[in-house]
Amino acid sequence: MTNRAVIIDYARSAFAKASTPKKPGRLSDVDPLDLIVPVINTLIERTNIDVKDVKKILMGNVHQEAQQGLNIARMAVLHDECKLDNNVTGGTSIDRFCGSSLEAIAMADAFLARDPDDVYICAGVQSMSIVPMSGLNPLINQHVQGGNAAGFMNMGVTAENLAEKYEITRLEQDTFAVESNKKTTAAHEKGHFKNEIVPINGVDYDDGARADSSVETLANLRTAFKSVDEGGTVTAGNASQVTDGASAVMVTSESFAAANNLPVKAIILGYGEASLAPEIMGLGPVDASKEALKRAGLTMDDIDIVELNEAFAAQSIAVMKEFEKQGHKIDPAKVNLDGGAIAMGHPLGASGARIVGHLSEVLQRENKRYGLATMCIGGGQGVAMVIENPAAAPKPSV
Amino acid sequence: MTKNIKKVAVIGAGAMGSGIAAQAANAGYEVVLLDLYPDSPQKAIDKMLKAKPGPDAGFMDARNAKRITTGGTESDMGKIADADLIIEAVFEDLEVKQTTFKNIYKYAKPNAIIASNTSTIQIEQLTDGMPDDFKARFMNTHFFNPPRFMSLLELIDSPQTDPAQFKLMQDIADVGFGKKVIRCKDTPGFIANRIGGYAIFRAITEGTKQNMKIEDIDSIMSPAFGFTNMGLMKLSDFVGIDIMAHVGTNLENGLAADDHFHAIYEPALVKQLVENKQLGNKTGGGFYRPKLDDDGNKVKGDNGRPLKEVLDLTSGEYRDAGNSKYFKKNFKKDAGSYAKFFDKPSEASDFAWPVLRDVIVYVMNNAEQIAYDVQSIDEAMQAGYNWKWGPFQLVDEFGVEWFTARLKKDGIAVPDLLQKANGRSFYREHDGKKQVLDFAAEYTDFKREDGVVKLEDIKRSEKRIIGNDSASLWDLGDGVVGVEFHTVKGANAIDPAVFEVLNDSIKLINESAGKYKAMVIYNEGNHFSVGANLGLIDVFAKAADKVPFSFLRNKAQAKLANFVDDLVYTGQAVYKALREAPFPVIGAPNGMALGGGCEVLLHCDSIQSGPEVYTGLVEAGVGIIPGWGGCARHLERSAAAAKVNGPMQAMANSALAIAQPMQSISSSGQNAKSKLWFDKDAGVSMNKDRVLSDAKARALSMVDGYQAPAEPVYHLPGPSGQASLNMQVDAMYLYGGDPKVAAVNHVDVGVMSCLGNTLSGGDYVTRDQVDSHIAGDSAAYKALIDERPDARIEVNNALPLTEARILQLERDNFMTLFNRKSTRDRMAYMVAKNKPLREDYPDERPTPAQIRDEIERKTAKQRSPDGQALSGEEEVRLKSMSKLSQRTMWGLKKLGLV
Repeated sequence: MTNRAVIIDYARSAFAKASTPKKPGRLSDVDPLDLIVPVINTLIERTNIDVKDVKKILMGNVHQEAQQGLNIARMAVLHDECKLDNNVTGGTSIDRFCGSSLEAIAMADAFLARDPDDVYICAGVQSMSIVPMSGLNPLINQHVQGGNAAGFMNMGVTAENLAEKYEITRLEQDTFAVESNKKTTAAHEKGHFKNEIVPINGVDYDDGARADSSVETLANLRTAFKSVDEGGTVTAGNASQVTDGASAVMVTSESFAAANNLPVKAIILGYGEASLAPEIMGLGPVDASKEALKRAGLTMDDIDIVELNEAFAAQSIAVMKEFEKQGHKIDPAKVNLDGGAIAMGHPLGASGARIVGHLSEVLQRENKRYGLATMCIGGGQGVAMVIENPAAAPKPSV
Repeated sequence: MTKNIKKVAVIGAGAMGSGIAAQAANAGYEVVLLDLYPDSPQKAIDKMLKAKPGPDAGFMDARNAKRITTGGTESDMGKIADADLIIEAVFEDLEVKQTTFKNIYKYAKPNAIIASNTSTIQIEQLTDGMPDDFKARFMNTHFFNPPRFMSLLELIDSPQTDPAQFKLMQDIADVGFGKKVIRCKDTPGFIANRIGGYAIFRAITEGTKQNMKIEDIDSIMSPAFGFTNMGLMKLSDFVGIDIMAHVGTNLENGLAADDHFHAIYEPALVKQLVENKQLGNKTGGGFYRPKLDDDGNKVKGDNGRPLKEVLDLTSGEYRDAGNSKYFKKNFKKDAGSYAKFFDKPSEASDFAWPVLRDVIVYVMNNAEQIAYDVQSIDEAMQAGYNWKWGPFQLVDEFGVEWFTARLKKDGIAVPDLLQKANGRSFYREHDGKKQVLDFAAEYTDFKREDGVVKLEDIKRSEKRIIGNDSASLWDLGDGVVGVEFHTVKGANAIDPAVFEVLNDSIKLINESAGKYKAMVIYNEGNHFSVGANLGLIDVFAKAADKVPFSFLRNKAQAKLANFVDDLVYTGQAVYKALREAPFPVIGAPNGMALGGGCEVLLHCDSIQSGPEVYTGLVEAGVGIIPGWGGCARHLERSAAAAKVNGPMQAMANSALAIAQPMQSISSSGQNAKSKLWFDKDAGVSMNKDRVLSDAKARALSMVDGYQAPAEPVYHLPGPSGQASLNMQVDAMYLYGGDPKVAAVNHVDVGVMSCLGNTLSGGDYVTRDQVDSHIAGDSAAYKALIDERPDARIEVNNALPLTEARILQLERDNFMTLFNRKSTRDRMAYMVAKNKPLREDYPDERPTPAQIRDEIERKTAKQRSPDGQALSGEEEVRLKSMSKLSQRTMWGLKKLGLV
């Protein structure tokens, strides 16, 4: 049997709504490095890993400029409070938009195939308060997609495209959003995030999630990208929230985990990616998931739990409709058990590690075996990862 | 008054022609510059663009060069067809010039003014054989070198010149080219070179006769008699010995046989120098030259400065230059009066008297031959040779009666004009007006060009509205008031008494029920203001250091710190009140406006600048940062001008400007706009004499519908920005080279760290700062802070900061820096030596982190100016600070220390 990559531990900061002109975000004054370093330190302390074994931080981060610039992954290692060793651990910053830190885990997977005796910190961080969406200095080459940047770089517009294509109503979207909020607030109440959230400045709650969310209140929100008259349905209420946050997953090989007595949370079975027309980027998870499943030797029907990043309600619903169309209906009860980005937020660089990390937690909690984490990516891409909870696997007969 | 012609053509791209073309471009005219060699004009332009700030830098701002098109006189004369003014500046040869005029006449439009820049040839010869319509629009525009900086323009017409064309040229030269225009009669050397040439050759002849040292000639013929600091001979090196020789030859050839010039003209030495190509500074030596070793390297003295050699007037050989013993101290104070000085025989008076006597007598005897009035002669010498006094003013200084009597005693014929004066001074004040004794021996009013208003005229005729020892408020008429600083003559340093007048003025205007509606801040003289009165602070600091017993000394130091905290806050509050006052405030600078002088301009609603303005925030040179709102104002402008979004750009722009004062001081009024010191709508008067009237007009134009500017909101990077700036500073400190030159030294690292703290928005906002420091919903921020164990939030660009925040940081960091010994040393050095102290590295070079760790952080009192004139307790404090500083300055003046 091959020596597979495994997830040892996962932690994150709370995801806090970013600053608006009216209201300061609760983590808005925390420098991105000061968000991620405590999370990384928590992993090191909790696993009691020898820092001499940590080869590299692979860090997802979008808009790598200003406080997020200068190769933020390596800067995290060099941070005065980081427990990693400057002379041992390297740092690579990864920008694949929303898929950045999921890609980080996939890269660790690939590196471990070369040398299984390393440990990787696959992290992600985003301060959307400090470096706003599209960056501080947004520029784009005029020859990209015929200069029609709005048509594919405006994510809301791509969600509207899918709503139209799959005839997804405003009510369907708002209902999905309300569900997400209810699931997240309930999960917080039940303490489902206790293990993963590292309080920073005392913030230990995803403050975007609202228990009192209802389709009635969401119906009052104005559409954000397309007028109602023109058939617009996407609002701030049924889209993912702009937040500040950080997340990290520790990844090594089965053999290293065994040799060092590290309990394994999940085994990485397969990784997949997809490219498609940027105007419908939200469907990226479909083909990406199929590829990941194929590599894992599984089908959608084998999957027990799905973490589908909720970029938009319309986009999430479209993905499920497309699977159904292709004959693999996903039971909504298996999807996002603790809610998703619509409730807790989507700090771009940090979301990938969160959904994979959290999936490993949920599989353990629910004692389920196979999980799929997948997300769409602006610019017309998708990524997906299939993991297995070893505790739920049938024990080999003696 | 108008500069409403569009295009100027200059023929001949030598030093004068290209300089005139540059000045035309500076004036905003479209320019064509042609030369016999078609490549020469562009080469000349490139040379001026590359020149360091100084006489060769013809352009006030590099952008002006784009207004000039170039070409050759054989191929491109068509380019002058639409020129309104054509100035000939070709080789000084009658035939060459006449050919040029024929060529110009062929291509020029029929109503174009045609002028020559000749300094030697009379109009009758120049226009000989030309048609009448050429003669009607021909005149001589005699610029001085360098045309940008020398304010004199001698304008000479002929009987054939059309008076309307002459008037138009007067206006162009005055308002457009910005020159002091003096109408001269068409005689050899006109006014300035006739008198200036006579004076220099008279001094050389007498010096040779008396075997004087050139160093002594320069020390005697110095500001003591109204000449420049350089003295006559050093000035000749600066101007060029060849130019001097040229002036001499021209006078020799052109003047009548009985002219007294011939009697005193001994050109052998000067001609020898020209032959040896010792032309002055431009060829590395004239009367003076640098001392070189055998390998041709400059030899330096013990103080590190290059040594000089000087010509011996008798032997014609060079010898080591020494220091002169003359006039180190205040001349008048030592001598008592000019009469006493001249009447008591001494080496200095035996030399100075015959020279100055003959110069004055020569001028008096020839005045009516060369000039249209007395005033023109004095003004020409002031503008063309930088004399403080013209010959008639000099006689007034000596005393007309004494001078006349002394001439008689010497057996010298008393000139007609002097006889007619009959002991009366040539200038007087009468009925609040300045008057001058004219050729007919009658007093007539001193003339000003149309529209020129001088503060000295207003001061003569008006009682000041309010004022104290440091500043005054004058009524400029039409509802506009003018604030003038006069702390220390020439420096106009800023102290609490200046703030008091500004504060009182704001109140006075506000309470005047519409009588006053705008303010101009204008200081006549060479400079606007050199900044805060460091001398005053230095005196207080030294006094506190000298207090006996440590507990008393500590008390005195605490009192001093308290005074400085109040001083910085008060300046911020008054400047802010100035900016936010409900009436327009116009800053009207000429010359230097540095540090605190720059900060007052940064708070004006608009600027009407003179042509030559050197402004910038230079505080870092004395170890501090701008504390009177300079950081806040500069950040605001940097953010508005930032070419790249993001929090660092504004901070970096401001840090660069404040941290490197020598590179960022403006090189002209126009350049100050390019460098953000002035707003983009600021006006620049090309003629410095017009700044006040233009500023008043600008103020009045802003009165209707005036709205005070809103306070900006600042988005700054906080600690990350500081770390980023420190990274740049540290690199320069660690790898930047010689600390005595330009690099960052250990003291600078500390100063820059405090500058960064200010410009970044600081580190944290605490709960009690929220209301005044954050431009947002206070309750939301307080709620956030209440969640925090450390009860504070960190600053970054997502946090909207107020101006009060930046002002508090200015004060905190100012106090931190003021507390350092290195700052006190820098201030004391600046006060004593009038140049910045550049410390050597210590033997053990501290790391940047060590330097920053050792900074003892001080905080100023927490307070926020509200944009209103100070009242109540704050006003009482201002008045007592003002009184203290006036008393101290009075004492220092009595002691002769300022």
